[in-house]
Amino acid sequence: MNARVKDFWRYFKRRKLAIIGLVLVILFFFIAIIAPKIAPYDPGQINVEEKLIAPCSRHLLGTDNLGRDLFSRMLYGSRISLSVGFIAVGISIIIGILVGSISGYFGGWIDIILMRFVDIMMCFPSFFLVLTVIALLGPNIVNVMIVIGVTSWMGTARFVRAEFLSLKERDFLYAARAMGASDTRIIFRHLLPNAMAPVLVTATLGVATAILTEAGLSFLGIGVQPPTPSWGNILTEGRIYIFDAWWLTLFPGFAILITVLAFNLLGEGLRDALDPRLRGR
Amino acid sequence: MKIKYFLIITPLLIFSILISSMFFMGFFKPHRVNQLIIGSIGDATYLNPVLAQDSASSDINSFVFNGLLKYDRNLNIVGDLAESWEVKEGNKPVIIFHLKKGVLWQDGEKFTADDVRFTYETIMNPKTNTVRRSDFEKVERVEVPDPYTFIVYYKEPFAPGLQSWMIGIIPKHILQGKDINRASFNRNPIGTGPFIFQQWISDEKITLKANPNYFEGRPYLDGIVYRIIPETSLMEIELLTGGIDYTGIYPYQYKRISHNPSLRVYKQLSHGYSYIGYNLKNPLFKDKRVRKAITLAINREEMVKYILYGLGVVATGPFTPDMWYYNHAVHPLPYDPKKAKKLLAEAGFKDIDGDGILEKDGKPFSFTLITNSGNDIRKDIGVMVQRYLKEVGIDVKLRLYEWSVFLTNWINSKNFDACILGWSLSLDPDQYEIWHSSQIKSGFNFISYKNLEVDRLLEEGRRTFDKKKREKIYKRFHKIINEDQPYTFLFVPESTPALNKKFFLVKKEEKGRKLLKPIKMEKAGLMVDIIKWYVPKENELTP
Amino acid sequence: MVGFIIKRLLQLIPTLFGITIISFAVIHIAPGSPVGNTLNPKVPPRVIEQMKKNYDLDKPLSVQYVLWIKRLITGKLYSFKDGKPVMKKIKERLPATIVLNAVASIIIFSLAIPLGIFSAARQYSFWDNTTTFFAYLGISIPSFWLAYLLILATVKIFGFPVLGIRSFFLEGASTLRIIYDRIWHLTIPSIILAIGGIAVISRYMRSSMLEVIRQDYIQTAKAKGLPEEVVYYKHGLRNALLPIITLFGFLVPSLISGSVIIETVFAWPGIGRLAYQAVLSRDYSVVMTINTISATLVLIGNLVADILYAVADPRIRYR
Repeated sequence: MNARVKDFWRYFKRRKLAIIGLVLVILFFFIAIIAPKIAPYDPGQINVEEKLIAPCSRHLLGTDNLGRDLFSRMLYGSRISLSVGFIAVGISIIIGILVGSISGYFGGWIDIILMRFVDIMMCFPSFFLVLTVIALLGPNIVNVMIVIGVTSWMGTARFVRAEFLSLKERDFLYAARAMGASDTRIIFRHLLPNAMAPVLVTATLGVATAILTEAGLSFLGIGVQPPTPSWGNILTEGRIYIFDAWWLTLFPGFAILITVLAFNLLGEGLRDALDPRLRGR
Repeated sequence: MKIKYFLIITPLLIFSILISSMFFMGFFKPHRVNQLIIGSIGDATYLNPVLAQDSASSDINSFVFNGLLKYDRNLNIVGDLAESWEVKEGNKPVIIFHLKKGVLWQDGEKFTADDVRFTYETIMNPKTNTVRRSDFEKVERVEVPDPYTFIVYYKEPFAPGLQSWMIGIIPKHILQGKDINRASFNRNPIGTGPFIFQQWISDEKITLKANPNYFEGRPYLDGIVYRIIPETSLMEIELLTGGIDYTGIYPYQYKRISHNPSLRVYKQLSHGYSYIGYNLKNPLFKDKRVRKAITLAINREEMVKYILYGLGVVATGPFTPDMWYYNHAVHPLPYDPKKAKKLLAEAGFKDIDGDGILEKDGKPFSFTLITNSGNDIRKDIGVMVQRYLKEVGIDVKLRLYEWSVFLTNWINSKNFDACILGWSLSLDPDQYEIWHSSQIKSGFNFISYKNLEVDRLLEEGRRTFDKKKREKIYKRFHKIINEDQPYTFLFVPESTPALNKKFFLVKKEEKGRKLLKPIKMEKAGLMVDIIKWYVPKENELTP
Repeated sequence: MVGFIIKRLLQLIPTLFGITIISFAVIHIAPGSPVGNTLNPKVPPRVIEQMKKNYDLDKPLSVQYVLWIKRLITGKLYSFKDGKPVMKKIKERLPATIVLNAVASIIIFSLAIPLGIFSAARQYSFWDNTTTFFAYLGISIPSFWLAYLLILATVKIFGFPVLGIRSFFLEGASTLRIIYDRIWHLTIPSIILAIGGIAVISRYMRSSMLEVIRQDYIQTAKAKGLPEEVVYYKHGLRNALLPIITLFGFLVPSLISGSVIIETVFAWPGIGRLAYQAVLSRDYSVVMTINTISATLVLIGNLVADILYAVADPRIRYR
């Protein structure tokens, strides 16, 4: 195992962009964790006398229409946006792995029904589905996470299934079966670890997509609800003040861009480093 | 090799076509035309006054159709299609309308009392998907003795009944025997009004042109265009660059738009208010002192100043200050957090464990405040209320829900602690549906307010035609509501329409010369004299 | 071949059925109803009840589902919002969306394929890294944010915004100008809609090309001393394009999703905006029909891609 990690790292560290992505991701994590320590103000602190102040020494990124400090709100927003990204992807990966492995391992009619269902889910423009389901559950941070997760697991399910199908016929599985290993044991000890590499890549890229989706939902007014400061709704709330306060539009948009970019670059690097076929040269 | 060049040239070609189009642009400048372009966020739905529910449709319908009656510029009820009318009071009142003669539908047919009866019957037909029926439910029967007389018999006295005859009258000769809900008429309306419907491109624009045969004379404008622009910032850009002439603007836009030299922004108190409604079934809010304390703890002056940018006044009750039934002796509760704390202490709420939140019987004073999403003003109200109440030791959780969800799951099922909402009021003071205790079960009294005196006043008010008596009744009602504080009345916002300065009002026309004056905000709104609006040519612009 | 197509067509039927069921279920479980979505004291609940009855909304869900399918097929389905036939509404909006998406797709493929090849040919070089970086920048930009910045930029440069499908003051202009006006209005929205797609497709193109390059026959061709460009563009490209064809099927749903936001931002009167408004006003018949139609479009897209694939690659048929 250690050799595999070393091997992986050898290839990974050559990818400069991926390293930049990794550094940025770690940085954003760090910021999210220490947000309460470094935020100069309470993100909910209203001070109407200081509304719409441009970036200055007291308010690094300026203030919003209720006089809340944008810098502090952005710091706290990183927690919301990152957790939406991670939890949504977590949900999506779990569903995807479950469906994919059941389908791939057992095959037969279970496989047919599940794969038909995956087909149907993939046919819907996911955004419509998210829109309707959010309307159904009501927009709050938990539901946004659930909905993004529930509508994005199909890709994972497909390739976990494919991976299982190809692994199923390998010798080591026959050996495991001959030794009397149970289905669960075979799935979790033998098959899944082998399928984990692409799952990790999808998950990383998925975080990026989830953060973007959350911002899009907030833009339409049905994402994480204010006063919770997610980057998406800081951006949306600031949008109407675009002529008076450019900072309310620029900074959150930029933060989303950089974070999403970081995850995408990292994911790409992981894909390259984990996929032996791509290593060639 | 060819493939390689193909791959390079194709994208270059596509991009150059796309980008080159921009050189053609700069020339398109809005030219000075004698028409009014109105900007609207939403598209119309039914261009039929019987079926319309939304404001976009009502706006268009008001240009194309006429009612029997209308409000004049000072909000007095006057005849529109009716020349005159008589009200016979009593236990079963009768209204007799004498209709104007010689009014023509825009297709040339004569307008008669049969059209009025047809409109009434269409509304009352249960198959018609109209929301106007409740206005006419007190009518016993109607009668058309001759083509220009229309008589309405009421089952019981019903004062708001008169204004319900302001509904646009629809033509019998076109709609008879058709399924009104799906008639093509709803998209190609024909009315009696000053403007004739021309074209409707969904979600883009609706065009109207002047009706040369309008019974009050041809409008001076050649036409009206209704443009649909789905986003407020874009609307503002269009307004500033001359793409639209008229639209309502938001408080946060007021300052910068009113500084624009080509625009004039008008101000007028709107007929509506924002409030926090308390679910009186919830034991927390049963005590009048608690509700009063919350109102005292909220700095409404500051809200008006910062949320509305000063464009509004603090509300004291369910009426707006410019109305004849408003009780000026009722003063708003001041902002007084100390007194609020005292009242809360009297009601038994004290901070015993020292966490900054009040408790009673070991339970902290905490409630959820809900409102609908997509309304920035209500969202800001919520955030500020949360802050104010935290200072007196009340923990507020703010939740926003999409409108349908908000209505179905929370308001209509009375499954809430407190909500931020607003009422738009009609000009008649009757508010039976909102405050009468009979409306708790399935009406609009969703806060479950019950006060026997209020019930009595509301019943009496809608049965009385005499304005003086009604004034007394509703002033008393106003006072009681203020004392009970079933709502925290927040503010009455000002409506702020912006209009391009190129429009003038033609005062009169002498020897082919038009006497112009600027357009003024009247009590009945800016558009009351729309048929006299005009865009003068350069040579006509003499003071 | 014919057998293959028939088999694929038959497989569509259960999928389509599933799509209609899910469309129907999702919107009906959502709270609210197409009528009575207002808080208007003049509209008492009994009026709302009567309206629900008029619309058959008081019937059991199974009956409503059958009614919906029946009306959808016979064309007697009406919007709840304005009483217009749903198909007519969709027909009005569809061209705008199709044009926007078509232009976006053209941009995507015409740019992404050369970019992908370019990157692959110079794997891990400075240029490859640069295109990779820009591709990921493209995927990562929140499209509405970029749209706002671009709209503001056009206002600053030209003094007026670019909104909707055509200019407003164009009565009596020459045909050329009208055509160019349309193109001008298409430019910014279609580019923004395309940005994400360019990034994704060019990445796929790159890896697909890399895979092909590594195949024996390409190596052989190279070893034989054929010029590198001939090898890449002639032998490599055809095979590398194959997997890209299938991607087209997957591009359709994401483009439609993307157009919801772009159409709102640019006041583009297309299907995405219609669908979004219909969801908010619970216009059941419109939402369900649009969902079904777009899902069907995706199915057809996949089917066409599959057939193309089978035509191009004989091995597929025997699987």
